[in-house]
Amino acid sequence: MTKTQWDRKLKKKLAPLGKDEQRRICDYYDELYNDKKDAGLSEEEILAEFGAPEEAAAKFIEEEGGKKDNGNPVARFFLAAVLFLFVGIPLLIVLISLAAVALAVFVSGFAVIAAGVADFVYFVVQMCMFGGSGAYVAHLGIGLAAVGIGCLLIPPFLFFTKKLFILCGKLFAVTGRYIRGKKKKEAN
Amino acid sequence: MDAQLKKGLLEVCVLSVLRGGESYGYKIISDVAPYIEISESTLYPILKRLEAADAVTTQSREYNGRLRKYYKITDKGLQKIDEFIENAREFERIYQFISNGGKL
Repeated sequence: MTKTQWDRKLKKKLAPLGKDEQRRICDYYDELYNDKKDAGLSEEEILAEFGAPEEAAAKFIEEEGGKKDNGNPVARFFLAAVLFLFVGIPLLIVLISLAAVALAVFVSGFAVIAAGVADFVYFVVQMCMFGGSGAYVAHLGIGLAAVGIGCLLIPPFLFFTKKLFILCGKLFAVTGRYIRGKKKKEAN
Repeated sequence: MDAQLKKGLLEVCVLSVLRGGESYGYKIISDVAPYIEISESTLYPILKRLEAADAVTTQSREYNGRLRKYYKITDKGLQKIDEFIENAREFERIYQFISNGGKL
């Protein structure tokens, strides 16, 4: 593990503490690290002396009473309500719309096929009832062409639908992480 | 050793180091470690508590192109050491009493 990785883990685990306290603890470890480095210790030796970042963070959180100061609960509720009203609801509408578009696109491929089949069958019946004509034959062709186009459209539409659903899922995941205060997924 | 007792002892140990002159995190650990077990994660809350109790003051100064935080003992900190020594004398008398089987 490198010092950067150690710092990253520590900071992640210090999340329940306030930002100022997190910064003070990181500065404290930076100073100790540099002093130990000046004293001739290697990065590996220093990090071994520091111990696991999870344990260090747990100690600091325990000392602080386990919770960060989240301020006035009324103000927090008001902020949450405003965020839900002006961010949460519009975001939800966007996500639902994207999902609806994805479904509509997927269904449209089959709709084109269905329309083509219906057109073909309708004009076959017309021809049986009233006899063949150039216009009827043309309609049969149009029906068959629609079925063909529908078949061709289904694979790209399926791909597009899949991508849209994945995008919706990612948007949900990002929003969830943001709400939990983890804006960036840690690599380690 | 009891955790609370150790915390109290560590606080006085840190203050005793600072009585000899202002110091910084790494040096405090190096000075205290031969006498009582202390780690980086233990020292930070102690220094924070001492600072909050006005037993020490801090000052950040540049050293080797970076900032280093120096701790200096205050009169209140010196008073804490005196109080500890007074308590330890009392504790010693109680210890003698207990080790003599309840006889003075």
